[in-house]
Amino acid sequence: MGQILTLAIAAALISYAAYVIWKNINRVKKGQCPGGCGNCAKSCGYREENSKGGDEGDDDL
Amino acid sequence: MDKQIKVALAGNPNSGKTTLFNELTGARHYVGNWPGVTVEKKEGGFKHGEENILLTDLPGIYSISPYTMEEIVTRKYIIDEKPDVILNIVDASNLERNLYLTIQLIEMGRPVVIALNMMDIVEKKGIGIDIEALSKKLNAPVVPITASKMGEKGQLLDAVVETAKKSDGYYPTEVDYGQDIEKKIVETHKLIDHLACLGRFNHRWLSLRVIEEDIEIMNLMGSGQKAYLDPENSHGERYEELIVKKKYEFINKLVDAVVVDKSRDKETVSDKIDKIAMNRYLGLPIFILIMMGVFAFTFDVVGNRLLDLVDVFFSEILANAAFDWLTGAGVSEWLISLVVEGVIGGVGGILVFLPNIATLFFAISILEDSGYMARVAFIMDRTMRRIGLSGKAFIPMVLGFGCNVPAIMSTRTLENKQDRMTAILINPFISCSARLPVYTLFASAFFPRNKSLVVFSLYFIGIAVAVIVAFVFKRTFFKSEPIPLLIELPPYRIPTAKGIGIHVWERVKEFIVKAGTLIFAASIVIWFLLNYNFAGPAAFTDSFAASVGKFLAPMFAPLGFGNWRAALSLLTGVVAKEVIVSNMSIAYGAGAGSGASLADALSASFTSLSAYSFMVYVLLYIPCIGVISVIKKETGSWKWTGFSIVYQLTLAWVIAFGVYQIGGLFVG
Repeated sequence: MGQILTLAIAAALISYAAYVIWKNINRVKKGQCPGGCGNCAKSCGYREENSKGGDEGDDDL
Repeated sequence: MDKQIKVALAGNPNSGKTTLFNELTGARHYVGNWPGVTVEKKEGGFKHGEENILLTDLPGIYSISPYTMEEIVTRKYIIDEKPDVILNIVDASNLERNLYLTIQLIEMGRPVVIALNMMDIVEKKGIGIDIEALSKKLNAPVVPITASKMGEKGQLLDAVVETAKKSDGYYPTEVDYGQDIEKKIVETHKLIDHLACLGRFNHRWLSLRVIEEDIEIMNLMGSGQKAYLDPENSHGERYEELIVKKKYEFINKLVDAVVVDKSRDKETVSDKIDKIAMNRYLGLPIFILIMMGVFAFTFDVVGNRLLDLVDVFFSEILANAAFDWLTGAGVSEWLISLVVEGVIGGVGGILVFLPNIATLFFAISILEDSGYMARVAFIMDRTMRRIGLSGKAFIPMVLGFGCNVPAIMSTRTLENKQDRMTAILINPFISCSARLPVYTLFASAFFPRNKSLVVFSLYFIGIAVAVIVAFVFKRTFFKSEPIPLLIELPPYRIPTAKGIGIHVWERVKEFIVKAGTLIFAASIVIWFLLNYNFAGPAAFTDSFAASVGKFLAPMFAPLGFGNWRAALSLLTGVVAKEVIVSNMSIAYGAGAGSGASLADALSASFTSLSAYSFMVYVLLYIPCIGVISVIKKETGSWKWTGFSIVYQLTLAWVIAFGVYQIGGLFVG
């Protein structure tokens, strides 16, 4: 019983951690905060689908 | 299915658009008592009676000229999306200035409904507005409201629906620009009429924009047509200036006819407060004193008392309950350690600081909502201009106290590209709320009697470094003349419980979500790295994490914290700054949610001086991965992103080195 419970809790914790890490990597790739609270969107009206970001290719500025 | 009524919410900055948007849609978007809170548009749908309404909150603008990002977003939306109604929110206490935009919106040819906001302030000032006369003169419905206390939603939405459904056409009021300009409008109309691409615009508005040499519209025209345009009349007067003058003449006549001002020349309460709060010499010292008060309130009065209660919950109640339950269920020892020391220790180690964060943002929200923070931007304008930056660049700095991600995104409001780049690169020096748990932990452990002063000094160092770096950047990489700050100073208002509640809740939610997701996952990973090596289970000092920490530690020895646990926590802090504390909770084996016992464990590895040097390093070294990615996105450049990482790491090392070495001369 103890072993089954150990495996079940460990699997749940590790898969949740893996899911969170995967989700946050995707968020960061999109230029968003890893927190995922959505406060960025609220504090400045930022919307993912509208975001154009800054000037692309501005390396020579 | 019923057709959805598309309504665009437009108005001047700080006229109450976002408050009205939240009231109408039931959303909880961030509302700040200063201009520039909304950078891009946002949408919300709701029902009024049988009608489905889609409301779009557009950024606050003063005019429809295509000079700023906000003006371009608003204008593009109105032209391309053709909303059924423009709901123009007008600050009744600033009627002349607000009506300039109203006239421009009316000229664009979409039906306009005017929500006359802040009527409570107008009434308090003893000003009367003849609503019916105003509506008649503008040929548009006018509904008086107070957006923050909306009981009158129904009347406003009735007017919106009625206007959207009007079948007998829309006949907007036309400003009479005088014979000279009216003739020019007709000529211009003829000149551009054949251009098919211009069909989506209202013709009179379009002709006016062409006469005013609107760069975006001009770009749609061929060089042949441009050649016919003459920017000046026969008297050498520029049409652009004459049009603005005529608009204001129209507005002034309108205001004279509808406003009865019994308070002219009467000094308001806001004026009296501003005489002191915005005094040339007293303004800055008052701001510093207020911020010191905020930190004392957060750390000495409220925060730490609540912190002890939360700490007891995690370190005693929850950790013991989990330990007893898992032991009773016969779960393996390693899993008990993972759950109690890893998860509850890591996540609880962070959540104990929730009361401090909530208290700090409660105090800052009061300053924002009262209208004081807008004054701070004005007070800082002098300093900012001295370093070559616009005072407007101070607003992203203030937002950075919450989180640097939205703060960096809000630099989009800066018109000048050089100012914007500088503002982006200095923003990570502004101490975000994620760094607060580190300061609270170290300040409580090493400076129990001067906690608030120590934390205040870190915020102060952050601002000072940002200002000095901006000064250098504006004279090297990003040379340009500072643009004068044009900011509307709202009247002081008593903050509403709802407004403050939303602000504080957003910060608290952010913190809890982060603890339950990112910090939870990071704690599990860190626990594994601290308990294993290639050979299998290992003591902390022989683990993977210790190997990495020991490799990095010598770099920090001259700064006073050359131990592997500190070095490791700095590395993991790149994921999120709170992880520094959860990492330490686990690495010091201090047990679950152990604000107090972790502090004891830290005193074996740090002195007061090295603790301060560590806090300075945490303040200034690279920001979290989210901020790095938003810097890349907003600068559009890997070169500047890489530069930002390297110069911050270098600067943090040099300053922390200075603090430790010079401090050592005095402390001994």
